[in-house]
Amino acid sequence: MKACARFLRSEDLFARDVAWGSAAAFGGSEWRLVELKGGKDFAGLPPGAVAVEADFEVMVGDADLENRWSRCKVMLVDTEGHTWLPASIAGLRLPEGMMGCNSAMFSGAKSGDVLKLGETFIVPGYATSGIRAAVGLGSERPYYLRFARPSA
Amino acid sequence: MTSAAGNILVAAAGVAFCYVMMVSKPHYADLVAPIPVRAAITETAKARSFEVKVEKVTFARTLQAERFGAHKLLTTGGVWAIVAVDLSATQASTTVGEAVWRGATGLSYRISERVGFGPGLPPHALEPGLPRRALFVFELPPSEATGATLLISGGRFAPLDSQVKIRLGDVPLDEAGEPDDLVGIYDVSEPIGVGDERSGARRSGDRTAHSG
Repeated sequence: MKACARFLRSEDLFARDVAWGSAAAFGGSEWRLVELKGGKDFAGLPPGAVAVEADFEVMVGDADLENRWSRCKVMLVDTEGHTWLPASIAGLRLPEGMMGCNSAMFSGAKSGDVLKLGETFIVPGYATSGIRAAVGLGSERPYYLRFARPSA
Repeated sequence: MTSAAGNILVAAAGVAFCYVMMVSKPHYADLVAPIPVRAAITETAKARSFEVKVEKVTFARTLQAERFGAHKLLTTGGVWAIVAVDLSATQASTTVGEAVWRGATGLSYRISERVGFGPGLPPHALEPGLPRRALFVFELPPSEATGATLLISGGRFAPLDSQVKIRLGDVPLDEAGEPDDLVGIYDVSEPIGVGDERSGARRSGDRTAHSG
C-alpha cells in the first residue's frame, strides 16, 4: 500500500484539462498558459526539430512554493503518450523577467504576486500540431494540468 | 515411537528446506540488478526508455578531441574503440550516459573519461521522435577487442531498469594482436548525425595533426 501511494505521488497520471485562456487552481496558485510558440532557426537544433516555448502567468496564492511546487515539471505532451521535458537551446533565451518553474520556487514570491514562467523544448516538427503544455507539481500528483492549444 | 519418528522426519525435512532456501537466496545486488535486454549487433534493442542500434565499431590508435577550443591528440598503450550508435527516446525525454565494453575475458571497461564532453559524446540527451547518432569511446587492450559485449544503460546505477546487452562479435586480429582495421587517428570532435558516415577516421600513417 505504501509503495502504491508513493508511486501515485511521484507520477503525473491524471490530466485536468484547462481551456485555452482560462486559469486553473493548482498547487495553491492560479495557472494560465499565455503563449505556446515555436521556431526553427536556432543553431544546434537537430534536423527536423522545432524549438517550442511555453509561457505561463501564475498568480501566487499559497506562498509556500518550496513545498507546494516541489518537483515542479513543465512539459509538452501529445495524444500518443509522448512527453518532452525542458531543454536549453543555443540562441533562445527567455524574455526579461521570465523564469523557470524551479527558479520561481525560490524567488520569495508572496501571495498576490504574478509570476511569469517559461520553458523551452526541442520537439520533432511533425509533433508540433498536436502538442499541449502541461504542468505537474509534487503537491498535486498524480494529477497534472493540461492546457488546450490556442485555436488556429 | 512411529509418531515420534515421523515428527523427527518432518522437522528434519523442514530444517533441510529452510537451509536450501537460505543458501539459494539471491544476493541483494542480483535482486535489484538491471533487467537485461539482449540484441544482436544488427538489431535495434528496445529498452524501457530508449532504443539503440549499433551502427559501426571503429578501432583507432589515437583520438583527436577538442578541448577548450584546441585540438588534442590522445594516445594509449592499448587501442581506442569508438562505437557509433543510433539512439532514440521511446516515450519521454531521457538521458543515456553509461556504457561498458565487456571483453571476452569478462573484464569490463567503462566509457573513457579522457575524452571529455562534446557533441556526440555522453551523456546523450534524447527527445521522443528525434533519433540521433551518438558515440561511446573506450580505451582497452587490443586482446579485448574481439568477442566483446556492449552494455548500455541510462545511468551507472540503474536498479530494475533496462540494460541493453549487444554482442559485438569477433574482430580479426593481425600478427601483433591488434584489430586488423585499426586506423591511425579518429576525430571525435567532428559533428555527426543519424545516417552520417563518420569521416573522422584516417588510416595509419595518414596523420594531419601534431601532438600537443
